[in-house]
Amino acid sequence: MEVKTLELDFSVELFATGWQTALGRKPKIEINSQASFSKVTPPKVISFHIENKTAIKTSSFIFPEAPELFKPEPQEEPDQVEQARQERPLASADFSESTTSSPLPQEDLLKKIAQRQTRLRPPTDVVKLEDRLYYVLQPTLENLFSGSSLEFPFTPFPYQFEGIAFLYPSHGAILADEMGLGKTMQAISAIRMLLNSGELKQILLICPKPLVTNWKREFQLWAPEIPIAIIEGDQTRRHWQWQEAQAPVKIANYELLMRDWPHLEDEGLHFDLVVLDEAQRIKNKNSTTSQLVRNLPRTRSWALTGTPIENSTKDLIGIFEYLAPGEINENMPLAEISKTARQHTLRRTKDLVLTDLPPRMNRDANVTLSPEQQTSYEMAEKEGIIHLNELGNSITVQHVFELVLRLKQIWNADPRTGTSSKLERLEADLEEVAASGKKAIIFSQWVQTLDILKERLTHFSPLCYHGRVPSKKRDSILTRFKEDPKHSLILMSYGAGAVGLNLQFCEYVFLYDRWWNPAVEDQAINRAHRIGAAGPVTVTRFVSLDTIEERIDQILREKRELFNRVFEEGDMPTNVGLSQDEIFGLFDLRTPQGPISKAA
Amino acid sequence: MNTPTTNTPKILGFLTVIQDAQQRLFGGYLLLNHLGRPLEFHCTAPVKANRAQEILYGSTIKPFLYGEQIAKTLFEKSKNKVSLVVTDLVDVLPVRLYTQVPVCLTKSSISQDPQTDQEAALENSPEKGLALNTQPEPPPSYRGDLFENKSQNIPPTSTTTSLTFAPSPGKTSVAPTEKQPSQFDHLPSFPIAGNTIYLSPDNLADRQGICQILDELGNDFDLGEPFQRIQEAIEEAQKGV
Repeated sequence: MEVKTLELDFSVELFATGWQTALGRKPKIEINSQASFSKVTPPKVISFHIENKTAIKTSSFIFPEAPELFKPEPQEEPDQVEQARQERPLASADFSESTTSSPLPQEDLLKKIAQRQTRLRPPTDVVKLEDRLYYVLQPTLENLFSGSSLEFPFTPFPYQFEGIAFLYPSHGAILADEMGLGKTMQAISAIRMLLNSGELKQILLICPKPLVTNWKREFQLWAPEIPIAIIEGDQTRRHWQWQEAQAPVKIANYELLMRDWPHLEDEGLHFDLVVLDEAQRIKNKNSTTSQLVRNLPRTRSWALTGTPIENSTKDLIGIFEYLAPGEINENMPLAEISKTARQHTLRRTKDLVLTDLPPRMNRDANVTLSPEQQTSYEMAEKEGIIHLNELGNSITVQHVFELVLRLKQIWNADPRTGTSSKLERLEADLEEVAASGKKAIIFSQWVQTLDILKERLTHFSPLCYHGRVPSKKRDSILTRFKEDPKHSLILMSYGAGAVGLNLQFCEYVFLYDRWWNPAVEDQAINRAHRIGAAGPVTVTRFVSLDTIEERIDQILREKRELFNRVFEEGDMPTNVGLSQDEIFGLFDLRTPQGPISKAA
Repeated sequence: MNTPTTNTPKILGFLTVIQDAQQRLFGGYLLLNHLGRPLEFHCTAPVKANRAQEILYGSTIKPFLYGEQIAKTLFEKSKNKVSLVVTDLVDVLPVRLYTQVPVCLTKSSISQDPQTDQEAALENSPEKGLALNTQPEPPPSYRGDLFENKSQNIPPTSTTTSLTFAPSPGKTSVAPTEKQPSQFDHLPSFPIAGNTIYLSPDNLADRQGICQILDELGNDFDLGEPFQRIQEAIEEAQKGV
């Protein structure tokens, strides 16, 4: 603190009091003042430097720009879609498998499509983040289609968009929709988008031979801008077709694949995608077909089948050996097999997605054998069993099958007496069908049986469609059946008519005898019970009472349950197919290895 | 979406910021070609303002973080040259300060008006003020400009809330109430090609260029849809962290 002394100069009056002398002295005043700031220590200051630019870590992903391939050139080419529409009106003779609603003007179609939003999801087998984001960041399928030059000839159903979205990113996939839901259309549309996005360049589609023309037709309808090459003709021509670079999609049948395998190996062809139609063909992983298909050099593997399990889980394992080798095997717990299978499989049923489809009514026609049939049946069974037992250790499943087939023929129509309770019952039913102006399909596994039926049912003017009918005549037969009211009945073999036909104008299906596999029966039934069905479809399944046909029927029911458990409940028995034990059990026989317990 | 008439197809950038449940911010920038297909995607690591920044930046924290930090960083990462940047957040608009490319605002298809919706949710929440992250209102520097002509409509004590992660659009979306007007509604806007575009009043001159670009894209390009993709992509990326 600083002290200053100031001299004050002011007058003071004095009075003569004597003692006031002291007052004459000048007063002395001291003033204390505040300290100067300039000379003290400044207070501490804390400064915050505010970064105007913070370093933010980023991750970047660059995606290849999709090329615009196969742009249609309307000035130079006719409107193929419109042409296909005209060639393929729903009301005319068209029997190929296809599942869509009616055609719409493109503007209305786009509006309808735009209302839905189907997003692509990265599949579980795509691990790399960049690849996963590529799919996550894609526009909705509806936007992709509406935003490109791609057109749909018909309005796809929402579940079909979901199917396309499932296939699009998948490297190993089974599209296992129930028959009639449009697996073909979904696969073609997914292929079309992948080709347009530049993700695929070479695609091989393998299907059963009778379905090649169907695939060709469907490609022309759903992806008219994509050039396709059908592998057919003599060897030289086929070799040239395999090399055809201008066609990104090649269609071959299973049999040709086997014949051309050496050439494929020599040329070292690689496919971005291999699609197997009716993929149950490779359910037996030891078969030559399965081995060849598995050896095809490819990046992606798709399988189309309505019946990934026909008999047992081994069927599914066989297909998985193709699309995701080693992911499931017979030693895995059942729940794990089911879980893995679901990651690669999309399965929808008509009940789930087509709520407006007319109902399917199943009717079991239990028929008692006529006395003559009963006699023949018992005689044949007795002789057969004696014969089988005589075979001893040399007995095989084939021997049992032969006996079953012989007995089945007796149930259908006794060759000895010509009598048939089934046929009488069928005839009565058909009278009603014909009277109502409806159409009916009768399925049998034997052409011989179909011949007998044709002879006995002449008054219904039946048409025949089976393996002995030349391919060239088949389409015209179907046309006559559809358009000519006098033909109210068509006789079909399971082999020729169960797959790939579109007969939704029929309201009655008769399974005159039972196939060993319920999936084949379903395929047959679904020729009529599919999108576009005019009304309820009545399915009549004949069963001869007190015969082993009843037992076979029971096994078929159990197989259906197996399928449902794998794809709907997640648990399954290891094998409920027609096992060796079950086959021997039909006649209470013993296996070569020793006594067996009663099957099923 | 129709094929554009020009020889050089336009590339659009979609830029947004998403906040997760831990209040972390994730920026996402998606570049699409004229068909809506992805060309580039850039995203940030999580960003979170510390307490000091919150105090010091006050009401300017969101435009600073969203627009000047996250959006600018992402914008600079792109390899392709974009014709237009679209965002669904007002606070991203300041990125326009750093680029000559027009920046506009549109409503995301995730939620028609996420900010307003969440305000409504906040009002209706029994734990009012706790359920959602609230931030001070936008900075005066921007807000004053944006709402220049209609400032009388701005609620005097309005707060803004940030987007939070949600597994599906429907879970964040709450029907807006009439008492909570959308912030979008206060911005100059115009409809075009099936979309409603909002602009900063500072950049009204961008309108002509934006119209030209969107006209070329056609009527079927939903500008709000890509934000859903960005959200899903950020969620997908976070799964691997």
